[in-house]
Amino acid sequence: MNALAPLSRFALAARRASAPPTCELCAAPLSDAHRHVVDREGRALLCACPCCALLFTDATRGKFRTVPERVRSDPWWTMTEERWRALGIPVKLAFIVYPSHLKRWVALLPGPAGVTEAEINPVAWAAVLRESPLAASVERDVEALLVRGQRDGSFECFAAPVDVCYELTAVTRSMARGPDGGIDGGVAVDAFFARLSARGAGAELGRHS
Amino acid sequence: MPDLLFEAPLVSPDEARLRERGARLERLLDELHGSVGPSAWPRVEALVTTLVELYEGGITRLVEHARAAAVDRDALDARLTGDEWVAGLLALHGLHPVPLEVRVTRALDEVHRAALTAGCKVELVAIERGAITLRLTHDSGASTSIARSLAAVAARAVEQVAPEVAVVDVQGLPATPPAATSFVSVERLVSGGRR
Repeated sequence: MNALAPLSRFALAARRASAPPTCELCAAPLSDAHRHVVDREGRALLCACPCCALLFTDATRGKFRTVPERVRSDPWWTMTEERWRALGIPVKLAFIVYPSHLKRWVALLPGPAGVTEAEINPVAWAAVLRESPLAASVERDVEALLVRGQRDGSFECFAAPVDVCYELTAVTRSMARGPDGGIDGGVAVDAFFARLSARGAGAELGRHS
Repeated sequence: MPDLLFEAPLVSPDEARLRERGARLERLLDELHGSVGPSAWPRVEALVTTLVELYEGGITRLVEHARAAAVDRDALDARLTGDEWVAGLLALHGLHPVPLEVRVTRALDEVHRAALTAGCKVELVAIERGAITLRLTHDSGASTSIARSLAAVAARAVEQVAPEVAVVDVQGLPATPPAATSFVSVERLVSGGRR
């Protein structure tokens, strides 16, 4: 037995970790900044090369749909405390998505253990969809209504790509919960939302009378 | 290249130190695995992996520099591969100048000759990331104890030249336990004609 043999599985793990990422649809090499495609059946986010991302952009049927890149906000509408409480989401940071395989809207709550799924009150959500063009514009599977409640009672809301929302969960994964049990603050989260706002600037929904 | 099949009866201080370190590493990993509990063990593994990543990066660059500056590449490679400690590290990190398949085949050639005299054959079946599979086939007349000994020798020979491979699996081992009688030492089989 080679003396270095006990290291072999660690060397293997090290090699795998540094192996360049590849497209999960066609195995082409990927750069660090890459697009994602949602597998509607498995609710998986697949890393995608530009060709595969193009192929599944705006796909209305079938298993795959590319996550778009737009971030949008609406200066004329915001979430309110009452509306939030009516939805029944227990924490102040969540993103609301419609996964095809669940066939309903659910809230995903970023936290120390990753993402927790929570049910939302369907009547309250229907009201939000009626009131808010931003919420109504969120595409199923590939986008989310991302909401962050501040301590002063105000809310920040975005229609954001679902892969960006999962990036946020990577940020919150290592954070402790706040006093209300949710992740709402922290320098990293603030920085994340600042970047998001900058991205969404100029992509505000217009108001139609 | 150092003797592939058997550890030399007298080892140099360097070789002794290498083996001692390797044995200690294995013991420490076993002890930790047994005592730290399921939530801490992944972090122990992550710690070791991170250390390995750091040294792998450093050794890779070091070898690149040496090869770029070497006046005689072959002489450099011969030096590096002739040093057991260095050769092992190179193999572990995918830097060994001799491809894995060639190293394994050469190691098996040595065993093959001995195997034939005992009515056995040892073949390389597969090399996949992390695992090598060998197959032992033997004539009905071949002794099962010898077949088992040869399987062990083959596995050890491959492990010695391929530290980057975590598992060496030998298929085709006889199912019945070896007979207690008629023991023939493998040394006697293999050493015929060699020093």
